[in-house]
Amino acid sequence: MPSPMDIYKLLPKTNCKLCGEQTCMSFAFKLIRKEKKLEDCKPLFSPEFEEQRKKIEEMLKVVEKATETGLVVNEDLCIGCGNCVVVCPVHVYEDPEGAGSGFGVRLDNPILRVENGVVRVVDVGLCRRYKEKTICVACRENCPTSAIAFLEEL
Amino acid sequence: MWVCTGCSCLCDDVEIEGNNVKHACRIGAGIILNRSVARAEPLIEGRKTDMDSAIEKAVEILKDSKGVAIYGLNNSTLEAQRIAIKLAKKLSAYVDNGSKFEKLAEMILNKEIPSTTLENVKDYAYVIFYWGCDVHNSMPRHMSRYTYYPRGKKRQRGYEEDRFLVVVDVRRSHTAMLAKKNAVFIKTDDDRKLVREFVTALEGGIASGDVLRVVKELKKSDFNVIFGGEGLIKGLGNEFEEFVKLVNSVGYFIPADYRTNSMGFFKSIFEAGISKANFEDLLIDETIDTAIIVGDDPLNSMPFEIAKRLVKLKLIVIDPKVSFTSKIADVVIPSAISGVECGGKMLRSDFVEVELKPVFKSEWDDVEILKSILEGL
Amino acid sequence: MLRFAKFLKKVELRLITYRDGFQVSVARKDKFSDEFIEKSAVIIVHPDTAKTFGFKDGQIVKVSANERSANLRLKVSEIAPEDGALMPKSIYSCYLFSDKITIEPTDGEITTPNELLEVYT
Repeated sequence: MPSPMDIYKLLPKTNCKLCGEQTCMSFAFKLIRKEKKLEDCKPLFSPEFEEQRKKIEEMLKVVEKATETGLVVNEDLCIGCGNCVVVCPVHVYEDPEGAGSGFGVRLDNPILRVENGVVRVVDVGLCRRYKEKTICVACRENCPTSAIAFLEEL
Repeated sequence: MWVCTGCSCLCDDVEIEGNNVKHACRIGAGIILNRSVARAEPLIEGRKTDMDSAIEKAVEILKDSKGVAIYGLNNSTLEAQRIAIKLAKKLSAYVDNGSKFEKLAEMILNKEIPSTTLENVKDYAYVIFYWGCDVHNSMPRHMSRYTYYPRGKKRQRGYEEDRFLVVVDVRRSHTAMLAKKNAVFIKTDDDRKLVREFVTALEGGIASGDVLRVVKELKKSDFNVIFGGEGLIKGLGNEFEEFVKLVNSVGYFIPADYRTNSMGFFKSIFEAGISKANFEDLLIDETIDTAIIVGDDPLNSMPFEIAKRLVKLKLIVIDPKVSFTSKIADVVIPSAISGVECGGKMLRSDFVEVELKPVFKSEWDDVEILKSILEGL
Repeated sequence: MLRFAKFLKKVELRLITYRDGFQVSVARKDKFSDEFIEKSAVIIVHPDTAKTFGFKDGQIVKVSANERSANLRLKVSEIAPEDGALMPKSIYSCYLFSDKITIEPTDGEITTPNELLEVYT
């Protein structure tokens, strides 16, 4: 997952304000949070920045994968322990006999499910962050290998 | 539902749909998904042969041997372990599974230390110790499936209110990183001293802040449990008296031995009335000239100075996969992956018996191979 | 910086091994694969240790013990003890098994399991 600093280093760093932001750093922040688009930075699309632009586009692919709730899963870091599946308050409520009791989640469309040894986002529609706009971080908090992240915390 | 043989959790809730393995961790899912990769072939002195010739050669080696050890068997079923024991008796051979949990397993089976089941832990346990074990890595679903995270009968309010986690280790392991709210991580290089401190504190004596905090929590419930790993055993230096005292006042002890059927091995040898040898000592003392390695890879687990002595032995390796030890073996006999290609029973880390549910069928498994060797003798 | 690091004398640390779930998974898949090397030929030091001695995450280091040595990838993580180095249990950690190991920067390539096996035989 790229940090705003990683992105900033590749931007023109002129604080030209053409994107509507006061500084390139603030643009980098909003880019990661998906509040701005790369196209908003006009100078970056000139030939002299082509190489840097491509690098940023590569970095942003991870951000693109982030779900509507800002949840990002990095499968390479996931050991498949299922802590996130079991602690999810929605899973506990909707599937008390399955995920709530430590078993594999029994919902057809859970938020998260461990598949082929790594956690996969199945349906964020049920997530409290999506429906109720609650800031819940139970899944991320109980992942010691940082396989789960939320965009706004980066 | 498939029973996973990735570690001694033996998770029985895994679903397999085509190439999709649901709920198993990275280690467990990999067993199914990668089962056809790096498979062993029958070999005699590195040259390809057929199963019958490989078994015949193994029998020939064993007939000429003056001292034999059978090593491994943690990935074998109870049925295979029992045949291996018969073979050991016939050959007057030593047996070792490489686990250091022998004394604790014996105490549990003799009821000299109170133990319980993982289901009871889920339903009733309040304070949960992980002492000298990084279960997040060695048994990835241990905490989510059975201990800290799931809700149980008397533990309906979840980990944040109904459990208290204690992690003891020499370093801040991934398991230790999970000790957040209602939890404490105690870093120690001296396990014996910490055990004594807990015993003293439980008797009302003086102890450090962290220990006193845990003792206060322990008194809230009469069902608390200690999961001890290799780090604990090493730290105690095989002296368990004080530790047993501690377990008696805490509640229960369950081994955190990740080796899949290690407890099965211990139960099998104790029932057969034989004791566990120490393979490393046999190599150092040059007591043996032949070893049968079943489903294990000592070159990947034993210190160089000891492991290099394996080269001098006649080695018979029985394994589903190519291993480092198979590269130096005189005979390699390919076997089935227990629980995937052959059935049988295993014991979970809490000694609960679990019936395996293989999804493929194999002609040769540990049972058939060991039986054939036994008959050949 | 690299040039400076090269002049650092050998760093002696105690060695602790652990069972790494990612390593176990690839070891059970194929011990003669690049993945196995990636997950096994690894030595982890604490961020404080890395800072003190100028080690960088990802650099290749020569690790020595008992007159044997292997080139491993150095990683920086808080899971390592402050006063020691951590290695996932594998043929590499067995090969270097010792209470004390030394680490020094190197330009060499990472050692392969086949190179280690040659020493055994």
